[in-house]
Amino acid sequence: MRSACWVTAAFLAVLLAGCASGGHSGNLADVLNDARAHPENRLADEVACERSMNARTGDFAYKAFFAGLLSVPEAEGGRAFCSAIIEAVIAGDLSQAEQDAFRTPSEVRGRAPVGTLLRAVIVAHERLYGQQAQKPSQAQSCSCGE
Amino acid sequence: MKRHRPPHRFAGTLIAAMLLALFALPAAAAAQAFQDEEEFRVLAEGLRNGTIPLSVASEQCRQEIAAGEGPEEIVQFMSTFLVVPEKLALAATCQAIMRAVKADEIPVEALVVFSRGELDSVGLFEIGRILRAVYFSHRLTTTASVVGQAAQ
Repeated sequence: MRSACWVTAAFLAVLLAGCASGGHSGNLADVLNDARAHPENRLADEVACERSMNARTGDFAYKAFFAGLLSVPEAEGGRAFCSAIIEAVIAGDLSQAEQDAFRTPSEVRGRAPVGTLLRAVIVAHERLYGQQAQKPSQAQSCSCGE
Repeated sequence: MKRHRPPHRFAGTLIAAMLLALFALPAAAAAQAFQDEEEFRVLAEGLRNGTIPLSVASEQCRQEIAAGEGPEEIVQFMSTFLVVPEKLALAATCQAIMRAVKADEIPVEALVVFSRGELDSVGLFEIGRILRAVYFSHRLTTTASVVGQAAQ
């Protein structure tokens, strides 16, 4: 079985710890910090998140993993993850302390932060999905009136 | 002589292997656990037709993970993922996954894909899907429990 480098936990840890992988502008930790401080930047931060993910993925098929986790087509996995994690940060579902936990080596911090993060992403994605599902019905109810 | 294991006993190894693989812990057991697809089919069928009680399968699963490799890390992860105390994490995980198998939310085919042992995009998609199924299986039960308590 292929192992070490292909793990979700390590992948997330590297992204969230903001470890340098060479010269890219911004990393996911910076993007999340910006979203937390400036929620109005949500859309720009989602784009920056995807850019950051694409720049660092190596051979980890993160889009496929998050597509399965969030029940979206594989091509949408990256976008869905970024929208969800930005939503989680803005909504306070993923605190600064929980994010910063990824800076500590996994041997020290344990695996709890990964569970926290994946849960926050699912919860945020479901909230966004619910909001999107409500929009058409709201639009419909508005259009049939006066 | 081949040693036969009860089908539901196999599930604990299989689930542990999946979770261990997620963290890339020593996964020798994982490759072995996935060798017999038929055993998992028997487990799934037994859960669905009621010949294997959910409680028995869940408890066997918990015991096998607890006695296996790296249970602490699985406990840490599942405790925060499902928001349960660490001492209840394995039980909650096993109950959720067995319910999901019973409800066909974790189809045998998903595990068969995973069983190829390559964490390619198909395998990672299935890991994500299985974790999602476990999350919602657990949430469904805890929500029902809260509603039930409120009604009393």
